[in-house]
Amino acid sequence: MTSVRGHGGRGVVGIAAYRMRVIQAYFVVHLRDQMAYLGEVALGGIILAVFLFVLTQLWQATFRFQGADTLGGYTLAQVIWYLVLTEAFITSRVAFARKIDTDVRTGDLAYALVRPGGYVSAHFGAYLAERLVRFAFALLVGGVLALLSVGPVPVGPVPLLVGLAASLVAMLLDFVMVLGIGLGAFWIEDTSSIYLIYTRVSMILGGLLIPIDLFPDTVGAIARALPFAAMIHGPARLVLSSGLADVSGLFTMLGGSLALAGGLVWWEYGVARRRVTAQGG
Amino acid sequence: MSTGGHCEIAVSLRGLTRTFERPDLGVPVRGLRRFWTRRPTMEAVALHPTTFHVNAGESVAFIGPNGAGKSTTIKILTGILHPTAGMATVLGHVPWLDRDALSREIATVFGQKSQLWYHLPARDSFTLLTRIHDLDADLARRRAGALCERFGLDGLLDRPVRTLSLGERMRCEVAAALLHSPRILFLDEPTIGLDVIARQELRSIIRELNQRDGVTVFLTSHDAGDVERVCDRAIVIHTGRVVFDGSIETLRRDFVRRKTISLELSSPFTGESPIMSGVVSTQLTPMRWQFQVDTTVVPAETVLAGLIGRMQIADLTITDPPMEDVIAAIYGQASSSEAVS
Repeated sequence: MTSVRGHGGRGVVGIAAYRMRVIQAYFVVHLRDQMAYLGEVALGGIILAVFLFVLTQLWQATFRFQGADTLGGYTLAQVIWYLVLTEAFITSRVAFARKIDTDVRTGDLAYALVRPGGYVSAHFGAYLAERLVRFAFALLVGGVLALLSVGPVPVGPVPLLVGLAASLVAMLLDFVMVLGIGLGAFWIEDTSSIYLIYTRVSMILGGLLIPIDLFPDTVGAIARALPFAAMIHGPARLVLSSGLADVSGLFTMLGGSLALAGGLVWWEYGVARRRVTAQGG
Repeated sequence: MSTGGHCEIAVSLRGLTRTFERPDLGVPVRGLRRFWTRRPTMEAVALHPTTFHVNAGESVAFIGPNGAGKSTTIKILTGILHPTAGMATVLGHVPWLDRDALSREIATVFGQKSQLWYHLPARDSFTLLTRIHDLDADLARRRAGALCERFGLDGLLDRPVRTLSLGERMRCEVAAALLHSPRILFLDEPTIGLDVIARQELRSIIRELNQRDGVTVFLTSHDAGDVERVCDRAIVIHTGRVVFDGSIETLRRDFVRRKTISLELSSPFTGESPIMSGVVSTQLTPMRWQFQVDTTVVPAETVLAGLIGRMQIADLTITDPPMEDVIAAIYGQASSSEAVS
């Protein structure tokens, strides 16, 4: 008989290590799966290139019209690189809420729950693989375009690394929020409208097209009070800044939002699981 | 409660019951009231108190029409559903309390739900399953190799699953399900959509697993061939109640009280067609006759005794109804009881 290691006696650390192995396994498999969809990823890159081209023209016109070298502390080159970073975050999003929605609706969730390893771990491994491939590809396409149109901007290695780390935490937060929306299918007919609202609100208040520093004061204050700015604007601004100012505020906002959203979704998942075991798939 | 370990009884149900709350659509809630009024509910019984046991190493067909309670039972036994009352154990585990431990000892194969990744070679799915079952990598590799050899998967594992035929995919599915050496195999419509050859291959694989390796098989299927060729015992369920539990032979013999007597004559029969109550006679050729006997009306022996005196018989066979007819009769009973209720 094949040896099953089992982790019943390993305690929390053993279970956590097992979960990490499961996430890694799903990550690797989905990374390969992504290779089968490279054409689709490349198509996304073309769309991103068109977006960035149009936005670059708009920002160049804005700077010309204003006759200023900087707007809100950003040079034209910094704004374009900012757009590359925020667009890479947004266009790499994985709409897996629909998959969870379908799993709930078709009853596949019940069958998925029978497997060891955990339903959330499986989704997280898959999400991470798909997201990172798309993110890297978007950065590549956007970076080439930005280099050709406005040239390089000075970026310090530390802000770059810390900014990318913040992006990773932001992706984790995005995963938790999308998971929460997908699990909403236990209570509402269709979660796609909620996902649509979530993505649009996060784009607008996250500073996708315009750095939050350029928002009117009141709107800027509202945006900063919400997690979206920390997910999208924060990491991009950090990468382009010369130091690590506001880094603690950024990570506090991301960490706090993650803890809050994580707690809520943990509770939601528990209720959802009970609903599966009560009513079936 | 979870004792785990080896036990003679693989699956045990004692008064297992499952009811559901459903909105009572007969009570209208109109207008704005529907936004704050909780619609009255009614209780629907998916599974009446059910008791049966399956011994380790048995091969059991769990059959019944759609809506009979099969899926509910399997979902409870695999830990997906909680019962409303009663108790069940699978390999000593209470499924809904000890789902994780149980999932390492059982396997499920659903004909319409793939556990392989569509765009990837099956080998990648095998690797993933090795990790999620937390198997020792070397042993799992050897186990996968043995399964490949046995199921004839050489050359299939490295092809993307989407390029495999349904039969090839199902062989890979079963092999993937067996990677962690489960002691019970739950199969739900495993041969659905397969061609004749692929069905036969899959049935013989499952049969061999049961007979050679002692894996307990718990199969649901609407296909008479699956039931006949894979299982020794049948449990028939409809409208949430077990209506038969016995061997396949007994099911065929007793569930449909009908026998077919086929006669080869040594000389043509020229007399009047034998007319007996409960018997339908058919002349196939001048030398071959067939009699369908309703044994609830007249015993087959009585019919045979009557025929022997009148016909010159060269050869005769008495057969039970085919399994297809048995299953059709079971489903027919379910339909008629629904119509009555």
